[in-house]
Formats: sequence, structure tokens, C-alpha cells
Amino acid sequence: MLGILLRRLRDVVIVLLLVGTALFFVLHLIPGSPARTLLGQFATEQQVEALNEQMGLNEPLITQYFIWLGNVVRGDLGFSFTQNQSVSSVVVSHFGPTLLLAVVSTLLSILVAVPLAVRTVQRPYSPLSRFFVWASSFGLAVPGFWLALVLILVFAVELRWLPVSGYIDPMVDPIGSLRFLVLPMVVILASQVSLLLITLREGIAGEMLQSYIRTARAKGLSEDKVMYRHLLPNALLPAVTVVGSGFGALLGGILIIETIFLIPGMGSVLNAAIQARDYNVILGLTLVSAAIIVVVNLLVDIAYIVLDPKVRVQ
Amino acid sequence: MNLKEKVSSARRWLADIAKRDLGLLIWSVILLLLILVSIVGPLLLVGPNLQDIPARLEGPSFAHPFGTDQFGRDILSRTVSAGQVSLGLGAIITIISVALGAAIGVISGYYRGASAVLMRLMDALLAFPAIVLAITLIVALGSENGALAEVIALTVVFTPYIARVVRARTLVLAQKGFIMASRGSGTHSFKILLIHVIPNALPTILVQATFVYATTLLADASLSFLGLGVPAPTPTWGNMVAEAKPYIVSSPLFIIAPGAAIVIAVMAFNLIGDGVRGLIDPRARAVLSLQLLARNSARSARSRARASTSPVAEDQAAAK
Repeated sequence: MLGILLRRLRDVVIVLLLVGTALFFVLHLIPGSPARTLLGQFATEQQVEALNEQMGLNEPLITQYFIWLGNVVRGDLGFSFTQNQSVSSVVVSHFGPTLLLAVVSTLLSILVAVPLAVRTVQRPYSPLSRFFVWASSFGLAVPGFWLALVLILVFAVELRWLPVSGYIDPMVDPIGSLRFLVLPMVVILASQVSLLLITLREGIAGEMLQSYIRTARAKGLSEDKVMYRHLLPNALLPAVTVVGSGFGALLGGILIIETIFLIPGMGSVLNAAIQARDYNVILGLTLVSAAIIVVVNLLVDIAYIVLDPKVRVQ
Repeated sequence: MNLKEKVSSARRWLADIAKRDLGLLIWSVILLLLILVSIVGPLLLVGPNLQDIPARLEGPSFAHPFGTDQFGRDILSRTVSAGQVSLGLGAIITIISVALGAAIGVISGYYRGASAVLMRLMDALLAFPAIVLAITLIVALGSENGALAEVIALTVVFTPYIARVVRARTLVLAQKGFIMASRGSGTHSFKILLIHVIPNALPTILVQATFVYATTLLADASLSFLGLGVPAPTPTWGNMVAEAKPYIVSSPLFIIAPGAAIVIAVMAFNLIGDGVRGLIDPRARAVLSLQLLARNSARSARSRARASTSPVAEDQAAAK
């Protein structure tokens, strides 16, 4: 088991290295001079040349790559000129809200989606099941930013039940922060629950054909027992994978939702950096989000080892 | 075959599809209508950029069924034109990434050596959240390049989604007897890919393409919303929502029209992809059809039981 973990860890390092390398070369092979873009169209050739020299852009590409790699490995993601601090500290100071949204929405979506998926497979033709299946195709199709604005219009502007936007740190005021978290959470859950519901439904439906289900029924177990004791442990494994592979979309969605609800997470930083064209911040956040996804997939693999005896034996 | 036979065979074909999957038929019609409207619509409606400042932010009327925006432009016309831009961009991005992804997938599924390099690169690209990678690429390419930057960025983002699936399919196909026979008879491996592997992988590619198209539409909407897509005044569904944001209270229809268009288009592509996959791979549907059979037989058993008033049969039917 330790061996598997170590091998996974090695793979994580390799993927992260590749991710960084891919990003570096993709960005540097693109024509156009970052110095020129940074200085604007009124800069003279000399100024551009000086900045090129200062930023190390006159070195051969391969030298630039190793300098950059060395910096990244030491946690140095560059300097943000618009925030006037290092990119690493920008990321660290805005990490909390994004992490909170990601973790809570993942847990909540599993809690909501699993019973719904079981129900829609047990009674596929009941009106409620049809509604849930229909709603989940809607949830997958609706853009988060638009749903967020419509919900704000209905629940914050018209009904005045919830605040339009804003954020309170749950560590400071747990009760007060809830009011601000409801709408963003609903928007994120809409797509996350839909994704889980649809994939789980397929997984459960596939497992229903297995002979151990027939055996469990034949020995007289109630349908709920067959579902929750025999079928779900097998059908839930793919769900863990879905959480892993869907995490990129979840994170991307959270980043955009944050800009609408003015949640001071990484998404708001990213949006500000886009508007100000702060390349170092955009690059740094891209790398950090890729790293998060790689780590989440490592956790998913570990969960697999814990949950699935078949993998453990191998 | 004369016309009458043709019509009746077409009708039988449609009836067959409707029986197998009514939803697929309905959503295909909706999608065709969407495409038709966004091609023909701009020719019939007033110009999407025709301003009428005195009539700004009006509610629905006969002249402007969806009302007007902050410059008095017709929202219906803008939504339809935006459909042309968004669906068109989506089509371009999907076609290029399907072609690239299929090529990469087939090659890396068939040649061991190429796989190591190509798939590691695809894995690396897949490690980013799609939208974040797209943002980074567009900013690097220069967002002032508008549509071109967006097409390149989203193609880079979505090619791996096709490549991964096509590679998996190719790996399965490469083990099949007819490929081995063809290889054994000395056919050039490039020819094998072209005439055996790609046609057999085509259904998988097409299904994945519909999902990529749907995802492209959502990505395009998000990017336009953030101001990184096609710049105003050219309407896209995403930048219309962004423009409508400040006027959300005074004219809600302004924000609802483009959003609803996105939802309908994405749903159509997703559900058509699902439906086609169900037709190709009936296993996904097996349980549902078994349950339908069980339900029907239980129903008929119950009605028979009621006729003979046998409590045993009723219990059995209920147990199902």
C-alpha cells in the first residue's frame, strides 16, 4: 500500500512538471513580446529592449526555462505589479474562500446526489424521477454566471431574502456567513449535483445487471438493503472518480461565481488580473489550480485504495 | 422507389426513432430550428447594432418582442445574431479540435512510442481547469485578437477531451481480429488507421463531439462574460449577459433571453449526444428497458389478477 502511494506521488511530481513545462512552452512559443505588451504601444524600441534584458527574455529559451523552473520549485511564482506583492502571497491570502466553497460543495453534492440517483434508478418512470433527470440535464446546461444573476434577481432583489453579494469569513462569524454562502452554493451545487446524478445513475443502472444483485434479491433482502448494502458500495467508486475528474470544472465554475458574488477568493483575484492584464498573477493562479487538481486526483486515488479491496490486493 | 414509397419509408424511419427515443427526436428538431433561426434570422430581423436611444431598456412590445437594451437595440435580433456568432464559433472550435484530437488519439492509440509523448502532453493539458487554461491562453495570445485568440485557446483546451476518448477506442479496436488480419496481410499501418480504425471509431468521435460542442458553448459564454471573447458591439450570448448585468432590475428580459438561448442550445447538444450514445451502446439503457418490461408485465399481471381475484398474483405483482 505504501508502495502504491509512493508510486502515485512520483507520478504527481511528473505530471506537475509536465504541466508547468507545457504551460511555459505554450506561452513562450506564442508570437508577440511580453515586454512590448507590458509597456504599451507608446514605448520606444530601447525601452522594450531594456525590459527584455531585465526580464531575462534575451536568454535562450532553454535557459529561461530552467531559471523559471528553479523559481517555481522554490515557490517563487513571480511578482504582481498590480497588487505590489509576490504572487505566492496573493494566492495564499485568497486561498481560503475558494477552498471552503470547493470542499463544502463537493461534500454537499455527494450527500444530495446519492439518494437522488438511487431513487431515479429504483423508480425510473415516476414523475419525481423524471423531474430529477430532466432537472439534471438543465443543471448541466445552465451557465453558472447566468444562474447566479437570475437567482440574485429573484431572491436578493425581488424577495430580499438574501444578500446580493459579499462574504464574511466563517471563522469570524459562522452564522452570519451562512446568509452570504447560500446563493453561491446553490449555483455551484446545481451543476455539481447534476453531474454526479447523471454519472451515478448510469453506474447504478449498470450494476443492477450484475448477478450479485440477483443473489441478494433472491435471498429475500428488501430493495433498500440491496441498494444501500450491496449495490452502492460498488456504484460509488465511479462517483469518486467523477468527483476527481469533475474537479477542474468545479474549480473553474467557482472562480467565475466568485466574481459575481464578490467573494474574495482566487476567482476574484483572477478576474482583477484579467482586467489589469497582470500576467504573473494569471500564470501563477493557473499553475496553482493545476496543482490543486493534481493533488485532488491523488486524494481520489488514495480513496480508491481505501474503498476498493480489489485495488488494494493488486 | 417512387415518391410515395420514399415518404412512407421516411415516415417509418422517423416513427422508429420516435419509438426508441422520443427525446432524441424532439431535441434534434429543436437544434435544427436553432441553427435555422440563427442562419435565417439575421436576414429577416432589424440589424443587431441598430440603435434607438430614446427607446432604451423598453419592455416587450410588438416591434421588440424581447424589449430593447441600453442603447435601444432589439434584444431578439441581438440574441439571434449572437446565436450565429456563438454557434458558429462553437462549430469551428469543435471541428478543429475533433480533427486534431481524433488524429492524436488514433496515432497514440496505435503507435506505442507516439503514445508516451502525445498522451503525457494531453494529460498535462487536462490537468488544468478548462476555463482557466483558456483564459491564460487568450491573455497570452492577446485578447484584442478576439475570435482568433478564442478559437486557438479553446481548440488547445478541448483537443485532449477528444484525443483521450479516441485513444481508448483505438486501443480496443487494435486488438480486434480484422485489424490483425489486415496487418498480417501487409497493409500499410497508415492505411489501416484510415480505412479500418477511423470509420469504426467514428460513432464514438461524433458522440464526444456533441459533448465538446456543448462545453464549447458554455466556455465561450463564460469567456465572453469575462470580456475575453468576441468583443462588443458584436453580440454573443455571453457578452449580452455581461451587458445586461447592470440593468438586471429594470429590464430582466434583457438578461433572460441570451441565458435561455445558451441553456437550450447546450441542452440540445448534451441530450442529442446522450441519445445517440444510447442508440450506439444499448447497454447503457438495458436496465431502464428491463424495468419498463417488468413494470408492464406487473401491470398486466395485476389486471389479470383483478379479473380472477387471486390475491397471490396481486402480491407477486406488487413485489415486483
